[in-house]
Amino acid sequence: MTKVVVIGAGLSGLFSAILAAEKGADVTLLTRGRGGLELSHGCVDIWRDGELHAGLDSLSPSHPYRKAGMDALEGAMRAFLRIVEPAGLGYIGDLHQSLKIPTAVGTFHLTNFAPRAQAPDEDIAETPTVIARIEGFRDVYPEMIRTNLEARGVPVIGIVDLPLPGPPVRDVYASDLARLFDHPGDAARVCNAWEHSLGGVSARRLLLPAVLGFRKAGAVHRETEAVLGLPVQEFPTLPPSMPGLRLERALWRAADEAGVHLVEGPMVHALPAEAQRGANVSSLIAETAGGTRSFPADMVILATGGVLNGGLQTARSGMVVESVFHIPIHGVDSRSTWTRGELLAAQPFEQFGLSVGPGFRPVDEDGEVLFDNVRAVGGILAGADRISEGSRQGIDLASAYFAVEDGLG
Amino acid sequence: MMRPGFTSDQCLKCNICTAACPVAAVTDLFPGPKAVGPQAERYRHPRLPLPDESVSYCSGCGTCTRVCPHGVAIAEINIQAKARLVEEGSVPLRDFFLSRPELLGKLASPFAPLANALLDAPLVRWFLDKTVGVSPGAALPAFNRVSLRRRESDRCVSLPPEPHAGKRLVAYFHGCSTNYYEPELGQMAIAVLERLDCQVVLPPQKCCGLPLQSNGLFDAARKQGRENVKRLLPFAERGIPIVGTSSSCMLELKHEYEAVLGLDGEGLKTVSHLCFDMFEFLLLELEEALGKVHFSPIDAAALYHPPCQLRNHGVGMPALAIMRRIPGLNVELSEAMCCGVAGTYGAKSEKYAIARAVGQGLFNQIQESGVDFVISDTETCRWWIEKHTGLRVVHPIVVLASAMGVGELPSLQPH
Repeated sequence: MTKVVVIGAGLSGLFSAILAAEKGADVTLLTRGRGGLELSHGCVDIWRDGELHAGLDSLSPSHPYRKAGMDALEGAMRAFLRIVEPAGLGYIGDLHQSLKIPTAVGTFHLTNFAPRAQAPDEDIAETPTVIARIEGFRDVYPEMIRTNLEARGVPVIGIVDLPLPGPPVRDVYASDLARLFDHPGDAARVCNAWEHSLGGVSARRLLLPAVLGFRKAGAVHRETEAVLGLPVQEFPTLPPSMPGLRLERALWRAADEAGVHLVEGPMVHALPAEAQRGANVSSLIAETAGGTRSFPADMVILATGGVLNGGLQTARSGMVVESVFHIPIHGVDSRSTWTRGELLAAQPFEQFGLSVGPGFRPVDEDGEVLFDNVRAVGGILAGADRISEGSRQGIDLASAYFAVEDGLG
Repeated sequence: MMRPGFTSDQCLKCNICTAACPVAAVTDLFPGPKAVGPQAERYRHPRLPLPDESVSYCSGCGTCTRVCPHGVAIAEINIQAKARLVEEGSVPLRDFFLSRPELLGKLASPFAPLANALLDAPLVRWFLDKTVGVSPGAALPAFNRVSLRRRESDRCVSLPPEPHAGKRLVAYFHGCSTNYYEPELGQMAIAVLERLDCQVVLPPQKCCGLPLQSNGLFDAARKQGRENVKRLLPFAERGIPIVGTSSSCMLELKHEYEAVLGLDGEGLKTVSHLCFDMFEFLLLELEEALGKVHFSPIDAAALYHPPCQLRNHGVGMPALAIMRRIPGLNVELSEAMCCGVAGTYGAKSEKYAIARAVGQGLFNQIQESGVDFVISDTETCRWWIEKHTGLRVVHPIVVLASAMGVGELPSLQPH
């Protein structure tokens, strides 16, 4: 049985672990802490402006999409939708067409697949909308959402205050509210109170922070719509981000079902002797509570993410290195090259990453494959500007799918 | 190792720990690990009283540190802050006793039937609740008249013997609970290891000190730690693995002596790096021998709840992997972060309701899944889950011993 070790528990790590286990491999997923999904919006961004149907040929040859190809992207999306289906979140969307969904600041997020609770049936720009303010829930600014949505042509009827069952004693997080909705009794009480507050409001949509349940989110959303008698659309909040947590839970459960051994906690690195080019990596070293433990591997999938997720380490000297195998990132040698002056401009550090060759194998400066049995997937890959392209999750899924198909297919 | 407080600088306030915290999920009294940990740490002056006491509601399950992607030692910060609260106040008599299972065992074992009858009596429990604050809902185990060490006295050695030919020497760290309450569990662990060609000895050992540590009695816990390192070192120096069935004791030896209690030295490193959870050891070191063993089927459905302390070993869920090899046995994985009891937390009258609420998700999953029994590695979790679900809750070694024909599953009839 092929032993596969996946490092990282974000979207690309969990997805590749599930796919590899489905192909009959003995898969161990090692992760230091929870992955980026906990902070994410729960949607799948493939390409911002829907130009993808023109094909991938216009992209640079080093772009991860070019390396994966359209077949892998399509296969990955089919597999993703199949894997998350049992969680009942009802993902809808299209590979070649954008969904326009509102954000927590009242702008639009263009995405390709979204859970039913976030994806509207009707065009937002034509739907009379009321925005909810939930009592005691901080960091949501309905007035700003209103101003920004109106500037984008959305007819906003008003802002409505929705009460909670009891006075909160401490800061209320999205996860606190979501748990309320997982308790059938509490959910009914909340919904009844909200129905009262909404009485007489002639909106065709209620825009609400994403708090409608965790474990039973899909069903809770449907029930809430039924009780309130109008379509309800959630927008993701500051972390804890419920849409991301729901997706993460769906994938963890699928990974357990598929027989993935989930090992949470340790930092992982490779044997120094093996961190040399040309060799096959035969095992990885995990720093557990009781010291180092070795995990044997026939194939390694590196899904550790970019700078913000710990896959890359930055040093005061200006150097950036990959954190497991200590592969230096080429062309980055001074801190002044990490960022640009304008805060909101595309930042160079977001594009730092590993260059890969055939089958998503990391390569050196000259394009030589470093290790035959190591594949890099997801956020750690160089060659894409994920934010301006709107391509983050698409790259995660397509690269993971290609690497697993190529390695185990 | 960096002092836990200093890791606060790595906190990005992402709230991953807050979302995962099982205690913050059920009570407003606890503001969450981020708030009382890295956030509050900057207001804690080394020589002034702590400005806020809400950290006392932390159960010490350690989930926060495990889920943190940035290396903040949240749980360690919080347990140290709790210890400072204890230093500033007086320690209740209850905590003095709850945190000394070894002393309780020595006092009560000779009178096991009497002690058990007393602790079972509603009037006594009412009295304990009202006077010292031990909750009537607390799951208190029954003392066993003959301890493991007395049953297996010929295995008790103070220095490692020469192993018999073809045998691998293993030092079994049984902990207080196996010694005084569940000696049969220890005997099954020994039987499993021997069936896999190990020679098992019982090295001298004290209570690991975790109950003292969780109750903020750091000096007493350090004393236990130093004593254990001294006694186990002759075994570790010979490279003999120290294997335990109690995942909380083993975490104390592996990690907490250094990370929480601040013990150091080469001796501690040598010992802690040779400590293994039983199933971790089976998978890492005895996989080949295990592969040759015939498992008899166990036709039943079980739910496996990995205790927080086990998860914090950072080795995954080795018992689950082995349970799933047993033919006929269908094992569902618990979705709960924690069963709630967290050692002695759930035994305390003022914490009982919170601990119960933490466990409710697990109890519901157990009820809804319709399993025949429950499997969990740590003793306090087992007693607690058994008390609140009425189902049998067994250590995975009991299941494995039964499948290997060297032990017996207890009757699975509900209590």
